[in-house]
Amino acid sequence: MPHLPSTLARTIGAAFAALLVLVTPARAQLPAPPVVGTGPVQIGGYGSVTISRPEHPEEVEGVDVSELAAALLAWGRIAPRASYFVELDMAKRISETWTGRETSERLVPVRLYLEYTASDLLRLRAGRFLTPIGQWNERHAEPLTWTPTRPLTTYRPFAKSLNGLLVAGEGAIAGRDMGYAMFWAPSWNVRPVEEAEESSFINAVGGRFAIEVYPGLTLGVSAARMRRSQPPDPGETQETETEEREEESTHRALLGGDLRWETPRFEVTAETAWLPRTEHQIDEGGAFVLAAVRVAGPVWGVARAELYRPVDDRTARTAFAGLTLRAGPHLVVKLGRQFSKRPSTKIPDGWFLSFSSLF
Amino acid sequence: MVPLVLLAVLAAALGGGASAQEDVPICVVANLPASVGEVDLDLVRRLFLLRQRFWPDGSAAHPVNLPASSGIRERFSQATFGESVKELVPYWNERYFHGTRPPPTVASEAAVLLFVERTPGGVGYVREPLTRGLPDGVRELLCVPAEDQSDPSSVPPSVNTG
Repeated sequence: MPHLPSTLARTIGAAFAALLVLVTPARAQLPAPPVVGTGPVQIGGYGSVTISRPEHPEEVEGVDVSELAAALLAWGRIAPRASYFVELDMAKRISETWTGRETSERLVPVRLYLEYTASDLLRLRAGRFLTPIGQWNERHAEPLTWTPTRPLTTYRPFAKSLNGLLVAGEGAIAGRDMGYAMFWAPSWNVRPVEEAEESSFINAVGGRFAIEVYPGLTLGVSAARMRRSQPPDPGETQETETEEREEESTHRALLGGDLRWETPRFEVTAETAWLPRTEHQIDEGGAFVLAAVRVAGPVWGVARAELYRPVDDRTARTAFAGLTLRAGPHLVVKLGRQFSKRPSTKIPDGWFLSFSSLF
Repeated sequence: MVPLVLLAVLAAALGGGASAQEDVPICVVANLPASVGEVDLDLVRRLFLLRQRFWPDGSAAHPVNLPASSGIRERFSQATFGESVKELVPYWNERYFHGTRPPPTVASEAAVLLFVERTPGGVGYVREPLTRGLPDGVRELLCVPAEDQSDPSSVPPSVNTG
């Protein structure tokens, strides 16, 4: 293996040391965070409006031009160590198709579970919960994410929510915060979050382990085995019957990894999820990297690049560049341009503007 | 109750200005059984981030904060988390999305002491002079140094194992 020139090695070393000095301690999010209800009923939620302007609408069967979304959150403590949590997502989406504009609406329970806390290291969750694979899926609320479009890697290889049991906990290893979540989901999703884009799991087992290896720097690994039904092709919106999904489903494994490096000045996030090939299925998966840098005050510059295959039997390459204004939890504004060489319904090429609020 | 009245008077006297808030160490106090041994700053950090909800003996912890505008809370945040109260907002937003709000706040250091005295497992922070003559069951866990000594690499927090 060739040696790096000493000046280059020194430069890289100095840059890395400088980045470490910039880092401040610890606020990583670990898998399946607990519910800490202080009363029987607490209510919250978030809402968002996203407007998009596709650059090449003629190349796509149908593109979303606007989405009005809201989520109701409710949680509470029902006994000293028992809590519940509900997330109900509502959305109204307007799409532009060959035949004109179409409106679709959805109302989906994304989370609905009971949680019992035996200790910090052992919590048991039963019901419908977010799949703990990667980081994005568990922080998917529009006011918490950096871009108005979601990377394919964060939802296409797996189901966003699962019905079953989950065991999770948080603790420390050698002074480093760590967390784990392991799930068992015996049944199909009662209803996938978005039928037209999502995989479904049955007999799924898996989990995620994450550790903050350095203050602000969290690494995670995910793994799962399941029977999985393919998400329908982009643009195909009719609902698929459960029996059809079961017939089409195949045994698959999933491997994933994630990284988040967070400081008050910048954040780097990366995720990968991969379904290795089987006798009857080609391998599938992707990866993305996202960087956000504080430009001035609450304004951040954001860039993201992603590779995913297959989408329409090909490799999808997308990139996003834009600005995010985090004026506070009550107002987040994102404006950016997504670039896609072969645009489709789920990876449109064009401009996006979103307003969102956590309340 | 008399010690608490004295503490309240002392708190009022200490609250005279920003410089008074910066000149004295901040101490973490808790209502804990003696069976809970040594408590370090890392455990305090995890308790106040609600990453750890139980003391080492298995009993529930109940942290309490001063208001977000409090200079004492800001100093405690910087010393304990390495981040300001404002910089922790994204962390709490994400926790909120999972059904967790930050620890409750009380209006003053006297109220912190009252909360801790009356709440088994309660834990809060006050300026050092207020820890003199703590009520039975409440003990000082550790102190973070005053601002002019607050470089953690040179002056580690003192640990009270009692």
